[in-house]
Amino acid sequence: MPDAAGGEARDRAGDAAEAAHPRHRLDPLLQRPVPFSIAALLAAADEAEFAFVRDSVELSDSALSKQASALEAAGYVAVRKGFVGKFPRTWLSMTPQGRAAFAAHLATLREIAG
Amino acid sequence: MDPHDSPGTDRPEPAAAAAFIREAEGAARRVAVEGSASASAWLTGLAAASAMYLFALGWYARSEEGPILALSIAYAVTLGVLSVVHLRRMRAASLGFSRRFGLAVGAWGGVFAVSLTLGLLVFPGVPVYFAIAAIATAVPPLWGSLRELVVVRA
Repeated sequence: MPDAAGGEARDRAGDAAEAAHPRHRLDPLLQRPVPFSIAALLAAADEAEFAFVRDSVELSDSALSKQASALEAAGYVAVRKGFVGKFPRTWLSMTPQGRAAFAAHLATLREIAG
Repeated sequence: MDPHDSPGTDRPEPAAAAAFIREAEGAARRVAVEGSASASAWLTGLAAASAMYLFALGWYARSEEGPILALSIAYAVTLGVLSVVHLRRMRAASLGFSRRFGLAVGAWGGVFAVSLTLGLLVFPGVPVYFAIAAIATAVPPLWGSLRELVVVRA
């Protein structure tokens, strides 16, 4: 059955090509648009105020809290709370693990973009 | 399902990947402008205020405590206002900012302390010395300010 054998060979080749596709190296969390936007801001910063990230990514406080918690749980983002004068402030920063993941994700995107 | 949880495209096309890359570049620019522009302005202000303070000190002998005190208060108030206007409003620090800023302010502090000490103890009332000290003191913050502008323009 040469046709069946040929079909199997084509399937195997297809599977190999599929596995080699750069999208397999994309970070699942950073593939989501909002975590990507937050990570893109924080990757360019030593640290950023919660309000700056909220305004830049155009999210509500609660939505950003939820997304920041997800990134924090993944070990990508660190949250620091403090005061400026009498006013409480929250700062977000990227961990070394987060920076490495974002850099790898961005490199893969560049590969896909060509 | 929360719209913010929506998964990204399973197989990003080149155009979609390029859009993500553009977004990342835009985010980097936004952070640079937010963080480094304010810091650059503050460092320029620090350079100008310090240079004027030291230059003005050169015209007074050590015994003229009144004018020296008035100058010192004016200098402190200027730095306070500059800090409130430029530093307290900074909502993001660009990558590597802490190190660059620490270096510029640390160098300024060292040169300023040495210049002031020598000026008051060894060269009181010598305008030429204080003019040279004013220029030397302004160099580190101006250098830091230029570094931040380079970050903004990059």
